[in-house]
Amino acid sequence: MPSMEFTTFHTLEKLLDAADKAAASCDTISLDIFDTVLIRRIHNPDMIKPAVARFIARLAVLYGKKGWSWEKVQALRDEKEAAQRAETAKKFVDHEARYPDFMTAVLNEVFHDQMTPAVLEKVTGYELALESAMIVPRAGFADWIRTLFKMGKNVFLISDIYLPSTHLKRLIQNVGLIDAITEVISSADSFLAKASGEAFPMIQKRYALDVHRWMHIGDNPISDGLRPVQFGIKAFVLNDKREKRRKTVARMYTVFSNQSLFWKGRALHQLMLPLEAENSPRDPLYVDGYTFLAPLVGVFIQSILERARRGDIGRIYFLSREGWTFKKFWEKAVPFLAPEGGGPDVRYLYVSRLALAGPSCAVQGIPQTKADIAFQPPGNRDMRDFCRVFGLDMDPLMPLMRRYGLSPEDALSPLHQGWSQNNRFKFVYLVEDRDFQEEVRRQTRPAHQALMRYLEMEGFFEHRDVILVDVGWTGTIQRFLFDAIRHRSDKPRLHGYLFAAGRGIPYPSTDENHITGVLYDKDRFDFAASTILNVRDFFEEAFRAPHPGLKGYRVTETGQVLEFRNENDGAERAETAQNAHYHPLQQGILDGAPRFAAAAAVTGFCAEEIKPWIRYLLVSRIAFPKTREIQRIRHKHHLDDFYGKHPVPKRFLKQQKRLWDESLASLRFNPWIRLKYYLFKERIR
Amino acid sequence: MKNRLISAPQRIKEHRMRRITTTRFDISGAEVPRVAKHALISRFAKYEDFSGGPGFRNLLFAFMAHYGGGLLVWLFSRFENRSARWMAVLRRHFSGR
Repeated sequence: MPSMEFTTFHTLEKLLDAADKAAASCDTISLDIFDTVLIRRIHNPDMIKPAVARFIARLAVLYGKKGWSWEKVQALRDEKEAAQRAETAKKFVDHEARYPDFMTAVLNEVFHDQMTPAVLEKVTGYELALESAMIVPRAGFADWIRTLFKMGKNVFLISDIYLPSTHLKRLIQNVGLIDAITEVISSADSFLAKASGEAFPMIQKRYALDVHRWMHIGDNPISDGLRPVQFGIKAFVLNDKREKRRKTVARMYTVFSNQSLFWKGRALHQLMLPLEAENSPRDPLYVDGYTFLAPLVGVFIQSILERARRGDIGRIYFLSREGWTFKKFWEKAVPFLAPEGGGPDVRYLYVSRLALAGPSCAVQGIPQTKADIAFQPPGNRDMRDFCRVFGLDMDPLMPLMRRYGLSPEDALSPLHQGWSQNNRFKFVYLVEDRDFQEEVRRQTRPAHQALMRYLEMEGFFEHRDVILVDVGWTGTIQRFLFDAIRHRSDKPRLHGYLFAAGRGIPYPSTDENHITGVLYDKDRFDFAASTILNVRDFFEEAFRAPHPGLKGYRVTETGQVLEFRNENDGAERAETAQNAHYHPLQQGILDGAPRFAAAAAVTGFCAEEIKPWIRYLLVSRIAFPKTREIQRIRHKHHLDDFYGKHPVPKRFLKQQKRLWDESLASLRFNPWIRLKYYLFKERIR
Repeated sequence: MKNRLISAPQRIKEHRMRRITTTRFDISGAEVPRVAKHALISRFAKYEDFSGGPGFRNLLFAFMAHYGGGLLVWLFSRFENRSARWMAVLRRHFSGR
């Protein structure tokens, strides 16, 4: 008569110690899969189902099926699953269901004649992808299972679940354990479950196992404790207090998210967190990228995706160089956020303010507003800077400048010594001069021709509406781009989406060309999000692509070439050093992308719902950062290709001083400095 | 002995390494006390209301779950039979009703 008792352990370490000793006298070790070998980031496995229902509802729209809301799909799934369980209960003790059966019934009802095995595979693939994103192998178990398998033991993973073993194997493969186990057994294959104890005789018979040399481990005192013991199998039950606490925290945030908008983003952030072996010690910059920047970029990308879903957008262009990170993030997020496909394709467009400034004048010339943009960076002073910005040769312009008494040395920016109102008048007259405008057009025409060839090569004129994605801040790149193409009848409508729109220069918005700041837009009041503008250089550096900046476009006999900055010049070397410094930060952002997307898909929160938490992150990390955070995250080098080399007056620099420019001593010992800057010095501009 | 095999810069780097999920299952750099601090400051300085803010009761429960969670879980497990009534109260709160 075997012992009818099983042993319960309250920590994984103690269970593994005891199981390791007991394994010496066993040939077969079976383990429960969920909540034992694999844990879920979510507290309730049913949270996956609404996400799959949302996917089916969107797929139905693509197939032209009307009237299928996700709630209706979910109700249908529940109905079909319950019906199958009731049917199974007539023949078996356990009330089990099988995913391919009831899901086929659901999809048949939704898609009717358009239902094919491919549709079922699409839905199954998405459900398993979400499951995979939410499950994590317990580090202790994973190592132990590999050791047992190497020792020649039979290792079975068993689960009472609606997913058949073929599906479970896909999950086990994703966590890297498929080569360390003998077989995966699911109650969905035989309708014999652990809960009734019927699974154990079936497994014993199928694999001819010796029950006296068999040990089973699981988390349920009945299914994994009492039932195997009744069959004569040695059983260990894991009642892990620490794991219960983790699930309580996940559950708590889910409940909070139903009560208050603020906690929605926090609940999503909780589901992003790495667990077990994923949570290894990392470079602090990686942690900043993962916990601070990844949710920010996530909300930005999600907003663009929501806009693109409306259907009229043909293509999305991510503009260099910050668009590089956004595009990578997009590619990692879309399989979770828009798995149904059918949306616009995405491309990376090589552009820069410096490269586009010249071509933008080839047709229209330079209007005064655009001419003044050249003197926005404080380092630009005179006509030499003006010509550098617009890619003009100054020698042919000299006679025209002399016509108005303007010399190359005359200061045209009020920030610099020597500026006078008279110089300003001379400059305005020069810009109004027809000969000057004609000369500008003549000089910029070749670059414009090269730009047109490049845009045609990128299929820029193939769609009626395109989205342009950039970091910010005034939309100068889009302004220049639109000026360069506005003469063409096949030009697309440009919908610009910026990470933040500071609108330092009023943007000439029209139906054909407009910009929207996603996380912050000066046109909408948002005190917390306005903090982004205080650390613009940091965001530019954090998102910047690792390739050199674009200098211009040049026509060749066969087409055009893109001209990049020389990688050996001083500024580029500084950028390379900065890239190396921020590499862990960018890695953190990109590693956070699939986790953010999976969490957003599971919770079903839209970008607007997550924003209150994003505002908190911005306030706490930009306006009220810890001194060591500023010390760590502050960029070391920043290159602005528009910026001239003239020394900027000290009084101006003093006015421009931000919290992040303060000395570490001030940040550490002045308790009011953050509040002072936030409330009085850095108020919304 | 083990540390001697690692170079000094490597040791400094490893010392500076951080985990994203803290031992209390909180977010590194966005822990509950930091959330509470900003909720408190913004209440007086009125710089941002975070769309209604976190709320005192939820903050208190979050603090308890992260910082007193181990003790609470141990107490409820140790006195599982006697704590049924308290568990019912908590369940009512966490069910979101």
